[in-house]
Amino acid sequence: MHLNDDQLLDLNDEHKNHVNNCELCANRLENLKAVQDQLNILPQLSIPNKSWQNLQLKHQVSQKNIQLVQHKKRMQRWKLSSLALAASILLVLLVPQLDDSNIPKNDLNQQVAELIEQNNWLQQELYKTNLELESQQVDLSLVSSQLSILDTSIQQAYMEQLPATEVSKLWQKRLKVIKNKIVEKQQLDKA
Amino acid sequence: MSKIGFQKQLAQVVIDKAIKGDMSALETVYLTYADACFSLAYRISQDQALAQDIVQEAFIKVMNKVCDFKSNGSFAGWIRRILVNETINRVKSNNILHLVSQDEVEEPVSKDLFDFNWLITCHELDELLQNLSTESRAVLLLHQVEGYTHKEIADLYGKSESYSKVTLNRAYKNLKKCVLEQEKCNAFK
Repeated sequence: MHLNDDQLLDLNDEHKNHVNNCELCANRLENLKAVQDQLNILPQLSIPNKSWQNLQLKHQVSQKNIQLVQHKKRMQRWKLSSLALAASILLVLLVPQLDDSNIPKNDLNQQVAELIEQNNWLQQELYKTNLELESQQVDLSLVSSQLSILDTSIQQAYMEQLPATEVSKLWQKRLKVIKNKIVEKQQLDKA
Repeated sequence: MSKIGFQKQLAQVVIDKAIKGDMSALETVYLTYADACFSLAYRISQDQALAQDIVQEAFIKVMNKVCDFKSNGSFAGWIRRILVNETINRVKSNNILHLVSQDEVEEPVSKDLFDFNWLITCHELDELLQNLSTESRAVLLLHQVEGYTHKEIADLYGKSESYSKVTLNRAYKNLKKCVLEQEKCNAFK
């Protein structure tokens, strides 16, 4: 029994043994190899407009797009974490257990509330402007980790019911970090 | 004889520099393999603009992923794999590829496909390949020229190995038919 074309195209050891002992199938295999050789000597074509510069430009655009997507993701995360933080703070503020001090409680609470608002607004502005294509992109990874550490401290402060003045200091520290980065970015944009 | 296509090999030092993101090394990589990539993408898609686009996209992926290249395999083979994936995905999304359904896979067993070397007199093989369907051409070129296994082709299409085998058989049958018809036409000229 001779090999069929499928078997000839996909030889296993048994088929190879058959070919070694069958002149007809050996001839057919030779013909197949000759056809394969013809296919293998197809000439190489030249790509029109082979331009490394064009490719580099496209690569830069793709890198920029990847960065944009990453920034958007990071901003989304920040929005969520800011919301979570604001919610937890609000909860603690609703329970009036802050420490007594020389400053009246209401004034202190008002001060902290304003600080929180400023923090949130400036943080969002910083991330939003950094996403704009025409502006200089600054690395926000350091500021993100600084804020993350401060957020943990703030949460801790609320949980441990530290005096309102301490809480306020932490919020001010947080605001300063954001403001510094904004100034750095503005200087970079001007340059 | 000088090597062409994906058989060309780059010096290890160039590959190492490319992995580190060195732009002049990446330029050498592009200039070495761009034509090979274009030849394969064009022969499968039969669309010059699309093939050019495929090559650019594939090289952007090469540049983005080169730092992940594992040195235990062939660098040219790695580039070819990216190119082939890009080509098949693009022809699939452009609806150029019409995959056969499983019931079409059943074909009568033949024994006369290679009863003689019917390609020996053919001088316009590239033209004749245009007469094959995109899937037949892709499987024929990937299996018979680029050395892909049926398993690798099946994985590319998300089909069974028998799909790849049947498509290859069908590609040869159609190619043989085209060659013989062309010979007949030439004989009457």
